[in-house]
Amino acid sequence: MPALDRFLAGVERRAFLTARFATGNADEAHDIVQDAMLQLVRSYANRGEQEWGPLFHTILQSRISDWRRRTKVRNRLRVWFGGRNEDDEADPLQNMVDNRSPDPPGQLRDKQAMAALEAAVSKLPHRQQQAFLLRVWEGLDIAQTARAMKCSEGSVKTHYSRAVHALREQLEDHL
Amino acid sequence: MTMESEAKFLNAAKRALDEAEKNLDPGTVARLRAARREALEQGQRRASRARPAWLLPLGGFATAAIVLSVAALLWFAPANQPANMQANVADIDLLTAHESPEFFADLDFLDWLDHDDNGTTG
Repeated sequence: MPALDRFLAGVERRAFLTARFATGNADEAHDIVQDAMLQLVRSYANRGEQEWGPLFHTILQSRISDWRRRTKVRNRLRVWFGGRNEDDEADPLQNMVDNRSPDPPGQLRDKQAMAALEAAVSKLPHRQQQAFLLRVWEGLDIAQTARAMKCSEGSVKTHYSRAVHALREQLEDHL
Repeated sequence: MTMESEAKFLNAAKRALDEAEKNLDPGTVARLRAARREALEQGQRRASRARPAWLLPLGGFATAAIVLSVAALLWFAPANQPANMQANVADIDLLTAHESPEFFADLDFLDWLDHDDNGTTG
C-alpha cells in the first residue's frame, strides 16, 4: 500500500496537532490519530486516492468528537463522586524557567508567534476550532468542511467567521 | 476589518501552523510513523484474509444450488414416502423377530399352506 503510506505520511503530523489542539494532551492525540489511520486503512483503502483526504478528515473529526463526549461523561462522574480532576492540576515542568541560551531574535519571535497561536487555537470553542483548522490549514472548501464536521454549510460559515474574529483579536500583535 | 488584512492574518496563521508541524519533536514523529506502519500492516493482514472479489458471486451460486436441492428433495419426497415407510417397517419386523431367517424365507409358502388348510377344512 505505498500510495496509502504516502498519503498518511503527508497528513499524520497535522492530524496529530489538530487532535492535540482539541484534547490538550499528546497521548490522547496519538490514540485518536492512530484510530483514524486504522479506520481509513480498514474501510477505505480501496477507494480512490482523491477521496482519502475528505474521508480522513471526517474520521478524525468524528474520533475527536467521540473523545470529547467520553471526557465530558468522565468529568461529570468525577464531579458526582467528588474526585479530583488531574487535568486541572498544573504541570510543574511547564512552570520551570528555561535557562538555556536564548534563540536569535527572529527565531524567538516565530516561536512566540507559534506558541501564541497554539494557545489561542486551543482556547477556541471546539466547533470554531474545527472550522478554522479545516478551512485555513487543511484548505478544505465550505462544503467539504461541512461534511467533515457533519453540519450545514451555514454553520461552518458562522463558526469560521467567529473563530477568525476571536483569533484576530488575540493575535494581532503576534502575527 | 478589510479583506486584505484578513487574508494577511490568515496567511500568517497558516505559516505559524506549518512551522508548528515542521518543528514537531522527533519522538512524536517516530511515534506517528510507528502508528502508520501498524495501521498499514493491520490493513494488509485483513486484506490477505479476505476472499477475492471474484469468489463472492460463487458463494451466492453455491447457496442458491443448496436451496434448490433442498426444495427439489422436499418436492419429490411425498411420492416415494409410503413405499419407503412400508419397506422400513418390514425391516424392523425382521430385525426384532425371534424367528429364524429361514422362517421369513418360507413365509410365502407358509402363507399358502395356511390358506390352503383353511380352504380344505372350512
